[in-house]
Amino acid sequence: MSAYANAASGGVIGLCLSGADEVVSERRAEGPEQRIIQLYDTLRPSLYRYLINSGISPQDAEEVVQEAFLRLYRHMRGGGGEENLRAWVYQVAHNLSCNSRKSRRRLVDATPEMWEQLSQSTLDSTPGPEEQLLEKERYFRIHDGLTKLTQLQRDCLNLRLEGFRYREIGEILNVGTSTVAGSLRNAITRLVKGCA
Amino acid sequence: MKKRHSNPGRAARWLFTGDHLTEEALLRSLDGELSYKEAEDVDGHIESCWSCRSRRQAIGHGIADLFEYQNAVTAPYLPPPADQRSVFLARLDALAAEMGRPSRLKSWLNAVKRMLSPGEMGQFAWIAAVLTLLALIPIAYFLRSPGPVSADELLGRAEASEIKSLQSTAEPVVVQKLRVSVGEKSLTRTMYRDVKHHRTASRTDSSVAGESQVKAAYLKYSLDWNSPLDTETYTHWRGARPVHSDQVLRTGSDRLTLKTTYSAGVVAETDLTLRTADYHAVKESVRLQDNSEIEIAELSYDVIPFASVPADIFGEPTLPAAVRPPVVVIPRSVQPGSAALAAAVVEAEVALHGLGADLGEQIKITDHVGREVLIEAVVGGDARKQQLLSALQDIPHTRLHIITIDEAAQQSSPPSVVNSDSPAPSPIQRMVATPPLLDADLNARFPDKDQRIAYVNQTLSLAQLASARAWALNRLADRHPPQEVSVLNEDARRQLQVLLADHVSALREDISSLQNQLGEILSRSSNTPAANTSVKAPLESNAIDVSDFSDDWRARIRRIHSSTEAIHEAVVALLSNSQPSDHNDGDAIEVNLRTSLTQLQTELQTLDQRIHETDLK
Repeated sequence: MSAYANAASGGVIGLCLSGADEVVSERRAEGPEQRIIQLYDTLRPSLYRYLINSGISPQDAEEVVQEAFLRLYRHMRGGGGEENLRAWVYQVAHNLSCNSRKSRRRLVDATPEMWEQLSQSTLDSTPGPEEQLLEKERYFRIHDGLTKLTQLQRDCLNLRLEGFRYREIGEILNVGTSTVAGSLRNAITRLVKGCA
Repeated sequence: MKKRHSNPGRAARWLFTGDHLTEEALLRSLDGELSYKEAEDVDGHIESCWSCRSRRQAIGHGIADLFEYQNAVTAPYLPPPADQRSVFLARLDALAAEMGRPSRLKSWLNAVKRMLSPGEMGQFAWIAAVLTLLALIPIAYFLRSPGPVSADELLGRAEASEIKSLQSTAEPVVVQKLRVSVGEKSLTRTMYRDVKHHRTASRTDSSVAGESQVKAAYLKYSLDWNSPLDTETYTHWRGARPVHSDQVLRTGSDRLTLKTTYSAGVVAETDLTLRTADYHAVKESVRLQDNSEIEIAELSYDVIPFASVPADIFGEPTLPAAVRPPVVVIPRSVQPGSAALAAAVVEAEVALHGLGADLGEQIKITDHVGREVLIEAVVGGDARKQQLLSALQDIPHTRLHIITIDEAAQQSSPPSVVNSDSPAPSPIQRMVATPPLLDADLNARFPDKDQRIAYVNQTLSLAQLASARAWALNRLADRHPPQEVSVLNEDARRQLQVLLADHVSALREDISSLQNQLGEILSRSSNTPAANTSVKAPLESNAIDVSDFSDDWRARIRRIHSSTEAIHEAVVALLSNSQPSDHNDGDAIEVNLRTSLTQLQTELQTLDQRIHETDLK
């Protein structure tokens, strides 16, 4: 890891830095850069997971995450408001991911073989073969239910799984709160019926 | 023991369907998305109802399963690759270097701004601010004199002022600089409006993406991008919504603000601020039910002669209005297929929906001999015409024929849209002097005449709005038969799905508001044993049969439309004197109305699910 990364990750300026490095580190330590890095470290895992859940490839997900935070930096430097920056970052990431999603297959729409591979890797931790089989069947039913949902319903579910309130989900997806409530209701009802 | 197993009656109606909680109420209860009172009602019911308790548990288990599944699917990809962090830091450094060091003044201003924001401001600072506000209240009360003019009078004066400001110049061009703020985004626009040639041009200080975002927000708020702070446009926009109350306030020494609240729909409140000296509009803000807000503030306003405007502002000059051909054709190189035409129809419908132009305006969309989509409209005035033109002109394979009422009157043969094949909903009906069927109940509930009139007008407006929405849904069902939907691409189908879902959500809210509104008066009279046993016939011959689970969403929409129409008629019959001669049994109408409203809610809920589940096939 570079001296930059070490300095930033610990929030402490490194000791053995060249002159140019010192300028960068000084800027990071006092400016909005430090704030962005802290936010990036805090929000990146969950945002990355949300994008993967939304059907974005891992490479694209990382690119979207970085671009969202760079835009946040421009926003903060421009004197933009700083209320609910988490929702702000998710909204930007969601909009950026829409184009990427159009051109690529969704993970949940993947081939049965791929799905088999994905689920197998997690089922190994389940105790006995009987439990593994039950778990697998349950996952298949949820997987099947998810493929039948609309994009809006999946987006609402994914954001709700990230802990956003209905109002925040509405802001991120640019729809009304009642539409969010309706989408979540229909999605959950469908999934529950499919798993019954 | 207190019985709480059934709908307690005082609870919000959408919480219950029959004696049980709705799926939405259960989900919202789990998600903590209910108000205190609603949560109390739901919890009280669940304590005593095994059925609802087990349904809530099933939903909880479903959520837990989903959570587990998502974790399992994403586990192989987590945590995110560590090496990418250094890439991000390098990109951030490069960007920071490109933007340069922030100025001390700007940093200081930003810090002050942050400190003053509700999230950051300290407790003591807030207490000080509240105390200051309390101290200022008497002063504000003193300054706030009663409204010097009514809302309509104020808007009339503002329109007159606008016309007057243009008369001083022969070929006037309005140059208006505006600040548009949507949430945290804001941009500065300079508008050039060539009054004589009906042309507009604008420049912004924002990137194309930033401008598109603000433009999209304009559509969300149903505002006209080309006529900001235009009083005529505002009056038309406001007139298309159910106004709940108007208040004219003196804001500062030289400003008047018209504050309007709305009883239904997505818009909660609007403020229009005018200069007292010349009634010129200087600021407009629109707040939606979800508390999001857009604000347009004027920074400068000038009327200059056309000759002073740079030649390239408007591009090529257009013909005067009198000789300008009314048809705008989007150039195209090849003949479009049926899929492209069907997608263009959906795009046009979405654009019209954004302007609130799909609720009964004289607009007709037809597939013109399989080559293009013809959109014909007769609209109230020039401002509305420009609104529609700017929203529709970029849609491919579309021919527009939009004229004003005055232009239609001047033409020898009016366009066919006037004799539209689908009759638009009737105009809003107002209370009349002669007594309605529920006159006695109205007098008992609202002894004050003004309150009574306000209640009746509000209820009739709600019924009319619901009727207009159902009519819009019906037109969508007519316009999109199965063969039409089957050729739509995925994007267009999703757009149509969102459009239908939006109408259904809004209609559900309208019906719910209407139920609550009518609850104030119906509960007093229709709960007598006589009333409940005397009713046999439904409101409408083909009224909703909830046992019919037809999978065709179009058939369901048609039933909903006819039922909403019947409800509208019943409301008119009960509250105004314009009822047909056969509507004279008030008790029977009341009981049928209650039943129909409940059935309609159930049917709308099913339709909502069908729209999401069937993918419209």
